[in-house]
Amino acid sequence: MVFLFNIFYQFGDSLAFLLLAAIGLAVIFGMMKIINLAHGEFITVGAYGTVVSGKVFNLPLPIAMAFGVLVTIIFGLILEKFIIRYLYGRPLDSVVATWGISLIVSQSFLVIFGPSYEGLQTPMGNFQLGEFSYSEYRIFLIFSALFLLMLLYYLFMKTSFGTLARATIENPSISSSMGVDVKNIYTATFAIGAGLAGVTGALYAPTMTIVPSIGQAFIVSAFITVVTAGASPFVGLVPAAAFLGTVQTTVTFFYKSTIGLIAILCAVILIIRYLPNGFSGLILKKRSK
Amino acid sequence: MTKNLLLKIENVSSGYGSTVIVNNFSFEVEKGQVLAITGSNGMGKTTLMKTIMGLIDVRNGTITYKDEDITNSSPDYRSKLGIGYVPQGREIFSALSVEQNIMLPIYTRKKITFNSKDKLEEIYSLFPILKEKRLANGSSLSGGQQQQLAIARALIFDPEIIILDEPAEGIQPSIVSFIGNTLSDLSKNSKKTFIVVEQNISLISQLNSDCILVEKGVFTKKLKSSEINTVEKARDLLSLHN
Repeated sequence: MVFLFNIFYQFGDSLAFLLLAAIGLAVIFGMMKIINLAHGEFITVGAYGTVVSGKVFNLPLPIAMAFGVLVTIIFGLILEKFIIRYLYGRPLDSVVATWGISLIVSQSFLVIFGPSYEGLQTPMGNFQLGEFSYSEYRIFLIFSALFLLMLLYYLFMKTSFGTLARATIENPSISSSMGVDVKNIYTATFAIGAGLAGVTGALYAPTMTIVPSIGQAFIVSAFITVVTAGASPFVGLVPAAAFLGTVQTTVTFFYKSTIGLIAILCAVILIIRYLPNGFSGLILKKRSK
Repeated sequence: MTKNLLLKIENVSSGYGSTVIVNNFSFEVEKGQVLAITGSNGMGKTTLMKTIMGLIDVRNGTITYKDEDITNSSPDYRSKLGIGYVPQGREIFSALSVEQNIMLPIYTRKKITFNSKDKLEEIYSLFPILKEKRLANGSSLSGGQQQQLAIARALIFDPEIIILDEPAEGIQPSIVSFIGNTLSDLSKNSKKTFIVVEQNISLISQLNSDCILVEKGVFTKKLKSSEINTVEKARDLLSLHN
C-alpha cells in the first residue's frame, strides 16, 4: 500500500511538473507557433513576482501568487505589443528574438536581485505514511495542474473567445473578413499563455531556490512535453505528460534521477521518430476511424 | 450620389508586390441588385473581391460603401459595416464545428439587433444539411456542404451586401442549382444585394443578374440581365466555354 502510494506520489510529482512546465508554452508554441525560448523567463517573472511581493509587502501567499501572475501577464502584453506581434508566421525569427529576450531578462534579474533571493517557506504541512513523509503542497500541485488544464480546455474549446482564437490562428485573413479583430485576439491569446507560465512560476516559487535562472529548470520539460503532445496540445498534453512521467518515474525508481532525465530525452526522440504528429495526432487519427 | 447606391468602386487598382492585377476598375452596385462578375481564370476577379473586402491594399482609387469612404478600412471593420464575404475555395475553419463556423461572425459583434438563435434557425431552414451536421468538424463536410456552410457564415449577421467568389467552383450541378435558387430567393424575399464572381454559365443565367466581364484586370463590358437570361445567350455573349 505504502509502496503503491510512493509510486503514485513520485509519478504525480513528475506529471505535475511536466504539465505545469508546458501549459503556457502549449498556448504560445502549440497553438500560436511562436517558438518561445523565453518561456523559462516568463516562469522566472512569475516566481520573482510572487516571492518579491510576498517578502516586500508581506503579502499572504495566495495574494502574492496572484500578483506574480499579474506581473507576468503585463510582461507578456508588453512583449507582444513591441516584439512578438511582428513575428507571427515567422517561426525561425521568433527563435532568435525570444532567445534574446531570454538573455536580457535573466541577466536583468541577476543585476537587480543578485545571484539568489531569499525564498518563501513551502506552505501546508507534511503527512506521514509508513516510514515516509510526504509534502501536502506537492499533492496540491498535482490537482492544480489538472484543474488548470481543464480550465484551458474549456476556455479554448467551449467559449466564444476560444472559437475566435482558434479561427484566427487557423486563418487570420479570412477571420478578419468575418469581423474578427485579429490583433486583439492574438494579444489576448499570448497574454493567456504568458499568464499560465506566470502561474507555474508562482506555484513553484515556494518550493525552489530563487535564482535568476529558475525558469531554465522548466524549459526543456516544457518543450519536450509540448512536442510530444503534438499539433493539438489540449488533446495531447495529458497523455504526453503521463507517458513521459511514467518513463521518468520508472527509470528513476530503478536507477537514479539523472538516468531518469536521460530516459525521458530518449523517449522523446523515439516519439518524434515514430509519432511525428505526437500523441494528439495518434488520438485524433483513432477517433476519426 | 443617388439614394439607392450601396457600393461604389472608382478607378481602383491593386495587386501583389510589383504586379498590378486589377487596373483602374470602376463599377457601382445598387441596393437589392444582383451583379455577376465573370471572366476567365487569372483575370483579377478574386483580387478585385479581396480588394473590396480589404484583404489587399488599394493602390489607387476609392471604395465607398453607403457614402462612407472605406478605401483604407480594415477587413473586420468592413464586415461589421454589413459586407458579407464568401471567399473563393470556401475557406472553412477546419478546427471548428459547423455551428462554430456559422456563429463566428456573431461572436465578433458587441451589439446585434436581432436574436442570434432565431437567426441560426432561419439559416438552418435554408440549409437543412448544416443542421444535421452542426456538431461535425468543418473539414469533414463535402465540397457542396462546405459551400453552403460558407454562405451560411456570411448570412448569419444579416449583412446588406454579400460578396460570393466562385460559389459553384468544383461543386456538383444539383448543388449549384440549389445554391442558385437560394440566392435568388434571398434577393427576392429579403432584398439582399449580391456580387457573385462566377464562371459557371448556368448559375449566372439562373441568377437573372446584370453581368460585368473582366479581362486582364480591366472592366471590359457590362451586359443587362435580359441579354444573358438563358444559357445559350450567356455563353455567346460572355464567350466563356464551360
